[in-house]
Amino acid sequence: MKKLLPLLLASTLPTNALAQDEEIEEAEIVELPSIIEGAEAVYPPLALRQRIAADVVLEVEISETGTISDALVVRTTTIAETLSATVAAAYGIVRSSTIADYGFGDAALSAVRKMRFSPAKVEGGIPIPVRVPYTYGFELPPLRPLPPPRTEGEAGPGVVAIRGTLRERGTRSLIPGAIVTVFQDDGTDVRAFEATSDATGRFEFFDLAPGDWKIQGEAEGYFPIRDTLQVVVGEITEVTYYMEKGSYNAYDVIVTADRVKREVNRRTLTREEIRTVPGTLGDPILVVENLPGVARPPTGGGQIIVRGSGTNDTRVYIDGVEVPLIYHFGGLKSVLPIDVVESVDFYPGNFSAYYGRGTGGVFDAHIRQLDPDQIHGTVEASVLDVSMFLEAPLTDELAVAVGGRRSVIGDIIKGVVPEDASVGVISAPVYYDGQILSNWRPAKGHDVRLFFLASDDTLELLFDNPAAASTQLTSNNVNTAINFQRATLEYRYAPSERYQNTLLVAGGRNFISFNAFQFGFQLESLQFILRDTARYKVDDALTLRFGLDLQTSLTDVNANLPGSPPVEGQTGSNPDLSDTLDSNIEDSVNTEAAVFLDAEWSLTEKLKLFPGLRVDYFELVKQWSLDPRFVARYDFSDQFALKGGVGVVFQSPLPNQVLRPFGNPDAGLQRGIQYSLGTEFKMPEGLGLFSRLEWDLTFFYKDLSDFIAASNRLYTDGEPLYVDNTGVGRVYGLEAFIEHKFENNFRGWISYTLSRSERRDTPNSEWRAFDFDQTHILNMVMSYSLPESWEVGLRFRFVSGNPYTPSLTVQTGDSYFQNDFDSYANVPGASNSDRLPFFSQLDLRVEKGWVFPAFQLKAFLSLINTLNRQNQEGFTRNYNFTLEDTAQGLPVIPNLGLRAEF
Amino acid sequence: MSSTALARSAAVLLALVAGCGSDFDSRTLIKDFRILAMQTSPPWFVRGEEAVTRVLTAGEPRGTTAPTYRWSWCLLRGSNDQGFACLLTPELMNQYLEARGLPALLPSSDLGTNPTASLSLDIPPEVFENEEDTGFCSLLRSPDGPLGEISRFVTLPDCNGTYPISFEVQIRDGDRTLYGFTSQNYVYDPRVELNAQPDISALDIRVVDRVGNPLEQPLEFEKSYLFELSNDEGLGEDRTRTEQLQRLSETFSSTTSPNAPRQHEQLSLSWFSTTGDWDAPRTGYLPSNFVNDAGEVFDREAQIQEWVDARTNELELPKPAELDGTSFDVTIVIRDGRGGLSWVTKTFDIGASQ
Repeated sequence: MKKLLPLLLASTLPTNALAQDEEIEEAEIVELPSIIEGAEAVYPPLALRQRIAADVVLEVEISETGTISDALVVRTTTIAETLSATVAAAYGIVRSSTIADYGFGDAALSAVRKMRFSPAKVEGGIPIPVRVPYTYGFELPPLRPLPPPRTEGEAGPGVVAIRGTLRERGTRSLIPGAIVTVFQDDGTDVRAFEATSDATGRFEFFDLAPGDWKIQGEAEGYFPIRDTLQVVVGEITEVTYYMEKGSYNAYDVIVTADRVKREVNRRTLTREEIRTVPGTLGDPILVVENLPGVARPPTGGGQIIVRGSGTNDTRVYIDGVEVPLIYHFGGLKSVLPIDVVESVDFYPGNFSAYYGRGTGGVFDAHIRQLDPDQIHGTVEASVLDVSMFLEAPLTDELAVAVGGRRSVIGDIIKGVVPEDASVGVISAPVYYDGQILSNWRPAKGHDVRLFFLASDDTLELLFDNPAAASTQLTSNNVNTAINFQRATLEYRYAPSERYQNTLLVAGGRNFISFNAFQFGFQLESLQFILRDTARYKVDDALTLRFGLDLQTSLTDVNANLPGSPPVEGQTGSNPDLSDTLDSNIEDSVNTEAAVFLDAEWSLTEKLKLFPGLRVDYFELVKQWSLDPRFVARYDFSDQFALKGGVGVVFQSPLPNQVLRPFGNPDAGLQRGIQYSLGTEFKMPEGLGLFSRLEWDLTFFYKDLSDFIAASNRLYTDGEPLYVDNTGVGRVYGLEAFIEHKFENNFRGWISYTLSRSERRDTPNSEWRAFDFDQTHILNMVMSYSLPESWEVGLRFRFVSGNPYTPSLTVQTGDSYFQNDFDSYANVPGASNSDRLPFFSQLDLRVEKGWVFPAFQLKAFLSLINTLNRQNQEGFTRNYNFTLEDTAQGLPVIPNLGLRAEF
Repeated sequence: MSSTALARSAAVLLALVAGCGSDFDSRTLIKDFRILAMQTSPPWFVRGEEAVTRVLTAGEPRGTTAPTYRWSWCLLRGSNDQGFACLLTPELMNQYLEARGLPALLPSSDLGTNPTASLSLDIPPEVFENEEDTGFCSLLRSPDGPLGEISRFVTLPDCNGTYPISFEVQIRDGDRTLYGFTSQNYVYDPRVELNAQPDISALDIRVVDRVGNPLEQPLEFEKSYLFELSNDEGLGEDRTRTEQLQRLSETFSSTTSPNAPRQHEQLSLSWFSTTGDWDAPRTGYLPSNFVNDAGEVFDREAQIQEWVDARTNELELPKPAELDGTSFDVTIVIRDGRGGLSWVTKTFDIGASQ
C-alpha cells in the first residue's frame, strides 16, 4: 500500500551538518545516514477511499545517535489515480474537489519520527547530527478484485467458512464498517471476496474452497491486519482480530462542538486533558488552578480562590447541582474522580443567570455520557489512592457505570509515625468516594440520567499529653468525619430543535463531625435541589432560556466552640478555652430559590447579545436579590472577537455568621458587581505550528460591597455580634491565556493573571490586601506525545507570595506572657501588610503506555515540585514569638502509579 | 464553620503528626531573662482584702542595669491583635459609674514600679449587679456603655459573683520589654467559695529511678533522668496521691448552689530547667470524676491524665560542653486552672560520666 522512497542523501541534495563546533562544521561528511528501522505510516483513510497517492517531502534532523530530533513537512504533492468512470462507479469512488489536506503530512511525520537511522559521519568515523530532505511516498495498493456478481435467482449465502470479529486493540471496542477481503491465488487464478463488518464488528465468508486463504482487513484510522487462514471442509474458521489504532493519543479523537459562548470567559477542560496535566494528579478540580483568574492556594489548603475573592465565594457544581465539599483532606484530591467526568467548565466571572449566589467564580463539572458498546473500565493504583471504574450497556437504551476510590496515603502516614510519638494515629486519614451513573434513552428526544456520589473522610488522633498543648484541654482526642451523599436524576426532553427542557432533581445528606479535645461541631443536613431549565429557540437569531433553581435543607447543628470562627483577614489569638460558645439547632429549614431568564440574541451575524436576569430569595437572611447580567460579543472575523460583560451577584453570609451566638442575626447579603472586557484571537492557517495558537486577553474589575467583616458591635443581649456587613472590596486586573491546541503531538498553554484584590473592613479602616491577593500568577502547562506511547509533560508555576500579617513581637523582641494560659502571644502588625516571597514550582509527568489485545496499561510517574524548591508558605515562631523561621511547603513528592483501561 | 476550614484543620493535624517544625530552643530551657509565672495572693480576693501580685522570672538579664518594673491593673483587656491594650480603665469606668449615680470607687490603674504590686478594692456588690440592671456588668453589655466607644472585638467577662481583674507588668530589660498579664477574680458575692493556692509546702523535686527510689547526685551528662514532684516520706502510691491531691487540687463547685456537684481542680505542671531537654514541656492532671456534697461520685467521660503521670517528667541532660558550670536549676510551676499558682525551684549537681 505504501512505498518508502529512500531518496535519502543523494549527493546532489543539500545536506547540512549541524554545527557542534568549528572543527566538525568544516569536516566533510564521509558516511551518510541510512535507514536502520523503518516505520509505516497510516494511509489517510479518505485518500485511500478516493484513490489519492502522495509524496510528502520532509526535512528531518537526524541526531548523532540516529534518532529523529526534529521533522517538518516541506511540501505534499498528491496524485489522483487515473480511473475510468466505470471502475470508479464499480468501486464507489467519489472524489471531492474541495479537500485540501488529506492528512498525508501528519501521517508521514508520525511515521518518520518512529524511524531509526545510522548517523552521518565525518572523517574518523565521528557521528554528527545532520538535517536532510526525505521524501515519504504514499503508494496506493492495487484495487481489490470485485467479487463475481451473483446471478439473478441465485440462492443466498450457503455454508459459513470463515467467521470473524474485529475489535480495537487495547479497548476491545467493536469495529464496524471495516472492509475485509479474502484472497486465494494458486498461480493461475485469483479468487477474491469482500465483506464489511457489521455494527457488532462481525464478518462472514461463505462457500470458500478448502485451502489457505489470505485475509486482509482495513478500517479508517487503523493499521490493516493481514493473516492467512486455512479453510477446512465442514468446519467454520472463527477468528478475532485486534486492530491497532493509528494513534492512541486521546486528543486525536476529541471532537468538541463549539458551544455558544454566552459568558465573557469560559474555559472547558476535557477528561483526557485533565488526566495528563502535570502537577494536578489528574484531578478535575485541581487542574483549574492552572487557568487564568485562579490563585494558588497554600499547600494543604484545599481552597478555590478566583479573582482574589474569599474561599467561600466560588461555587462548585456537578452538572448544575452544588456540592458541599470539594476536596478530600488537605486538598490532595477533589471528591470527583476523573473517570466519571466528561469535562469541567470554569467561569472566573460574568457567568450567565443560570448560576448565582457566589461573588467569586463558578466551576461546573459535567458527568460523562455513557455510551459503551460493551463492558469497559479502568483500574488505577498509585501512592495516593486506588480506584476503579466500570461501565456496561444493559440494553441498547440503558447503560450503567460504577466507580470507587480509597486513599492509601493515610496508611503510609500511619506507618511512618513512630510508636513513641506524642500523637497516636488511631485512625489513619482516609477518604473514600463512590459513584453510580446511569444513562437511559427510552425514545428519541428523551434522555434520563442518574448520578449518585458519596464521599467520606475520616481521621482520628489521640494525644497522650494534651496538657503540653494547653493548660485548659480536658480531652485528648481529635477526630473528624465528613461525608455526604448526593443523588441526581436528570430528565432531558427535546421534542424538537426549537424546544428543550431539562429537569433536575437532587437529594442528599451532608454530615460533618469535628471534635477537637473538649470542643465539637456536628452538622447533619438533608438537602433537596430542584432545577428546571427550558430553552426555546424563537428563530435563528433569538433563543430564550428560562429556569428555576431551588435548594432547600433541613439541618441539625450542635456546636461547642472556643469563640466564633475568624473571618477573612483575622489573625488568631489565644482564646479562653473555658469560655465556649454553644449552639444546638434542630430541624432548621433554609431555602434558597431563584428564577432566571436569559437570551442569546444575534443582532447581526457578528454581534451577539446575552442579556439575563436572576431573582433570588435567601431564607437565611430573609432577603430578595435582583441580579441583572449582560454580555456582548462581536466577532470581527473567525480569528478575532471582542467581548465584554457586566453582572450583579449576591451572596449569602455563612450560616455561622448569621446564627447566634456565633454571628449576627442582622447580617445580610453581600453584593458583587463584575465587569470584564476582553478579546479572543485565533492565529490564521498557514503559519505552521503557530496556526494552532489561540489567545485570550481579558480585563476585569469587581466591586464588592456589604461584605462580611469582623465587628465590635454588641447584640441586644449584650454579647458580641462578631460580624457585620461593613466590608467593601475591589478586585481588578487582567488575564491572558495562550493555548496551543493539540497538533504534532504537542499541547500546552500559558496563563497569566495580573491582579490586585483589596478590601476595607469598616468605613474608617485602611484598605488592605485580601488573604490571597497574588499580583502575578503564571502557569505554563505542556505535554508532548512521543513514539512508542510515551508521553511527557511539565507544569511550571511562578506566583507572587501571599500577603501576611507581620509579627510585632519578632520586630521588637518584646514578649507577651499570658499567665492565665501559661503561654506567650504573638502581637500582629497591620493586617496583610507584608508579602511572602515568590512561589515557583516545576512539576513533571511521564507516562508510558502498552497496548495489549484486550486492554491498555499505562504507568505514570508524577513529580510534584521536581526541583525540590523550598517555597515559603508562612512562618514558624519560637515559644514567645520573638524569633521566626520560614515554614516551607511541600518537598518533591513522587506519585507513581499504574492504570489499566479495558 | 465551613468544610474548607475543617479540611485545613485536618491538614494542620497531619503536619503535626509528620513532626514538621524548626530548631528553636524549647520553652522549657531557661537561657534568656524571662517571665515564668505570675502569682497573686490570695488568688481570689474579696472586698477590702489586699491582693499582692508578684512575678517569677529566671535567666540572665540582657541589660547592663537591673530590670525595672511597672505595674497596672485594668477592667477589660484587649486581645493580642489589639496589643493587649486596656480597653476599660478604672478611670473611664468611674466616669460611667458616676453618670449612673453609682459610687466611683475604683482606684487608679497605676500600681507602681516595685517588683510586686498590691491592689485592694472596696466596691459594694450592687455596683456590679443590682436589681435595676444599672450595675457594672449590665453597663458592660449595654450598647450605650463604655464599650460602645471601644473599637474592635473584645471578649466580655461573665459576672457570676466574681469579676476578673487584669494585672499587667512591664519589665524593661535592656532594649526590650517583657509584658506579663494575669487575671484574678475579685469576689463581690460573699456566697462565692474562694480559691486557694496549690499547697506545695510538703513537696520537693526529686530525681528517682523507674520504681520511685531517689537517685544520688551528682547526675551525669548525656543521660536521662526521671524527675518527680513528690514528698519525702516514703508513702505508698495511693496515700501519696490522696494526700498530695488534697493539698494541690481542691474540690469546687462551679455554681453557688449548695447541692451543686463538686469536682477536683485540673492541675498543670510547667517544667523548666537551665539545661537539658524535658520530655514534655507541661504535664497535667485531669480528674476522672467529680463528687457532690453528699459524697456521690460522677464519672467523667474518660480518665486521661493521672496524677502519677503529671508529677513526673524526664530530663535529658546535655554534653559537658553545653553546660557552663557544675549545677543546674529545675523549676516547676503548678497551676490549679482557676487562678491559683505555686512554684518550686531546686538546684541539682551534675558531674562527668563515670
